[in-house]
Amino acid sequence: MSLLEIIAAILILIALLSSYRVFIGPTVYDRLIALNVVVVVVVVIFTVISVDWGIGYFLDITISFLLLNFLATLAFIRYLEGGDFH
Amino acid sequence: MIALTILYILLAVSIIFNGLGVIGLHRFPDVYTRLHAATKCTTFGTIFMTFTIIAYGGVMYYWNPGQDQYLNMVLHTLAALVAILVTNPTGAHALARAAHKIGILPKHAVVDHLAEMEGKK
Repeated sequence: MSLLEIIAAILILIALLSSYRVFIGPTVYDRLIALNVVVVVVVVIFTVISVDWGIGYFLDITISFLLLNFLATLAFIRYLEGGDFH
Repeated sequence: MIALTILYILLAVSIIFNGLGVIGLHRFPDVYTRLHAATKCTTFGTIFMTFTIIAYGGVMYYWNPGQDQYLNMVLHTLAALVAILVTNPTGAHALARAAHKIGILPKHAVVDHLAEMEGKK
């Protein structure tokens, strides 16, 4: 294993540890925060793996995943507040 | 060799801050402090990871010019850096505002100035 693959393994461990809060969170906002952390750490894993393996289009997947996470968070918050989508 | 040392330091800072964010996510008592720990630490760690990739790509493009894959890597990582700088704090602010609006208070709260301000308006 190269150095970046070891770092990706540590980051996968961090993502698994933070996904524990998704299951035990007392309120739904705790689950959203933990899901946000998991998504950001997965983005970092994608970036590291893209550089290590030389696959260029993983970075495009990274950017679109970040923006999709942002939109999903905003939509979920609006749904929890009971607002309407116009 | 000095470039490699700088890359290792940036990588170590990124890993340490991501791990601290997860520890804070598990140890803090209520929503707002968990949000503080998680968002701040993951944003900082991700910024340092993208700095690492940008420095690596820049050094590799400087050493062997003409290979456009390193330039491609630097530009895409810059786009990811801008995306995370815009979206992550905005999402955290929206989460905290929604949690306050729905009635969740901090665990040891004694005053609520935001509710007073919104009630006065």
